[in-house]
Amino acid sequence: MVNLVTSDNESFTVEKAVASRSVLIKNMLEDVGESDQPIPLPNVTASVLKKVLEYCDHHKNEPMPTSEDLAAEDTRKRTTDIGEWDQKFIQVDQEMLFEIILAANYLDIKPLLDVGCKTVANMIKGKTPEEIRKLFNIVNDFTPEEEAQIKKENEWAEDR
Amino acid sequence: MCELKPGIQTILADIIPPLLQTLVDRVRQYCDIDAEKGSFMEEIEALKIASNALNAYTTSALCSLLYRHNQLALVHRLPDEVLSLIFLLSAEPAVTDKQPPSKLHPIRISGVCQRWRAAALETPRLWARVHAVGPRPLMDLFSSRSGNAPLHISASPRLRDEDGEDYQAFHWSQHINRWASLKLIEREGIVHYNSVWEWVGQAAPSLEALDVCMYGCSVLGIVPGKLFNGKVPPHLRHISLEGIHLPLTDEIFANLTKLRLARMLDPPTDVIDLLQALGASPRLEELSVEDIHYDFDFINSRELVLDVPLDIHLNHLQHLSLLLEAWVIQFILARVTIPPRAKLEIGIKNLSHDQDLSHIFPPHPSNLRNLQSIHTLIFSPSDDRRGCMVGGISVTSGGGCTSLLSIVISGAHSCAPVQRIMASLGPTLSLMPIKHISLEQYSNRKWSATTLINTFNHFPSLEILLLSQCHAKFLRALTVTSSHHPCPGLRTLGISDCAISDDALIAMVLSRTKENKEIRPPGAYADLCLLSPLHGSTAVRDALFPLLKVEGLDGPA
Repeated sequence: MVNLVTSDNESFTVEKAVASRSVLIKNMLEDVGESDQPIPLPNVTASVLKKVLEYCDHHKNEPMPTSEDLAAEDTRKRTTDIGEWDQKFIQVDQEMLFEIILAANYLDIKPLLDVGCKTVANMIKGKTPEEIRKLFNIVNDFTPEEEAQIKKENEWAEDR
Repeated sequence: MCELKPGIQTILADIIPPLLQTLVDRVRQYCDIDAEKGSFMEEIEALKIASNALNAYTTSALCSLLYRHNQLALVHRLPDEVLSLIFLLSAEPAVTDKQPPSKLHPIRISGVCQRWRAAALETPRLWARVHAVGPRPLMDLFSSRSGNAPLHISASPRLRDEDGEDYQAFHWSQHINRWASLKLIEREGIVHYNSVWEWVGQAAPSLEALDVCMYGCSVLGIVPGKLFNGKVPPHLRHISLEGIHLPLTDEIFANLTKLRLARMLDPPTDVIDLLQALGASPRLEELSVEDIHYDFDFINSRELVLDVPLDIHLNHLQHLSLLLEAWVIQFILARVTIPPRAKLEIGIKNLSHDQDLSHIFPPHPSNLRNLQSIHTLIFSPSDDRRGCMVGGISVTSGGGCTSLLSIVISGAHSCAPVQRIMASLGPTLSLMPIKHISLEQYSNRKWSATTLINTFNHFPSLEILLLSQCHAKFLRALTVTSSHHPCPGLRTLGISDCAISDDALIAMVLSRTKENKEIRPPGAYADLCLLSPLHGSTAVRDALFPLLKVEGLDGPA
């Protein structure tokens, strides 16, 4: 078993197979060897780690992506389809969604990072800039010069 | 703009005039304008400069504030590299998406806010998926912003500017070393081979995939030369041609992993050429041949051609899809050897009433090694009820199921082909170790029960039989007598929506239990399990419960 301690000082004891879905933790465990020492995770809160561990537990028996898989993903065309279980898992509010993505990025859990990013990607697909701004509570902060350039680009793109 | 309250107006009236005056004075001083002697126009110019400076400063301060507001947005907790990944994913289609992402997508993404624009401009691959449509400045934008990223170009070879030139082909040929995939598509009108050659007639050293779809339009002229000017791209792996012939050479076939040929109507294709092409493609993983029109003389002499010896080993094949006439399918399947885990998809359109389906498979298809691991066969009508489907399923090494065979016959009346396909395929496919057959809508009383039972008997390993919406005569044909032993290995019989009387059902089921003293050898049918949710009558329950396992029914009344 592995003991993980979150930024808000909560402790989670999990199977090694579950914790090792994180490449960061897996490498730490390999470096330290057999030890009872807790592993501090200063960038992850308890509520987020709980969610991340739920994902890791569900996928613990799946093969880890190899470096060849990751390299191939860069070149080949990917789709934004998400598995059924993962879709339900990632149905959370925006704050939790971004926290999960950040945690997956920090803990180096590539498949979870993919699920989170695909979810956000699907949210912005087919939307206009104004709709995207509304979705994420962003405002138009362009200078008049940038605004003019963007207007020109849009005119070119619509001229066909 | 919100309306200013009177108090604010007073404050502004107190502050702005002296502020502006100070500004104008400083501009005058800087530009050496004498307030007393300067011209009226010089005065106006000084005021304009002051006003513009004030506006610019206000705008800049406002943008800065808006930028800081955006920094606090939840989405902006994500680092740039994650934002980039999201942008790239958002430009990819989902399998379920009916439409590909808009061609405007990168432009839209870069027009959300300053942070997104900066991240988008730092993501060259976002701009590397090019739809070669639009004015030259737009193409310049995509070519420069895509940096050195491999280009995925889709274009229409029919598009011309006022001078009759394909400026898109000219523009993108300047970046030909970066082409990773090229898709040429045209659905209507007339296209000349010369226009196509402006794209495919030059060496594209990094090209991995070529997709040319001209179905729906007329392609005129003659092939002007060699593909890629004779210099085959060393990494070319995928080719898809629809409605157009291109001169593919053995050198091109040698490295292909994916080949799709569809709707080549004119000139007709020679099936032997096709097989020779397959022979030259040892690395093929996916092969799809659809709606190919074959030479008429060739069809007349097909008996002769069937003797052509060819034994093509497609050792890497994972997926073979053939949507052709039945005899052409047989011709191809007789000459290729496909590996055990390959999926075979067969489609036959517009089947006539008298067409013999025995031509789908060669007489002894041991070269189709995937058939030898299929343990489940499913026969059912197609969704539109105008055809039928046959599915073959195998167990994977991980214990899951995988589809290895699919035959779809469309355009036929009702599901009559099911009857014909079963009759013709039973003997041919008896090499399958079938344990499970599911049969849906085998409902025509004119069909032969003997043929059906004979088909079942070609699979001695059959243990599970599920019949849905089938005519009662086919169920009655499962009755065991001293001289008639259909499906001797049957252990589970599932029945749903079959209009069989209780008496007939009981008699048939009882004949397959130890109660039937005529059974030889004794006890051969002892373990039958009946799955019958819709035959839960009291009589059936009372008669069968003591004798065999019945699921889907309550206990005796």
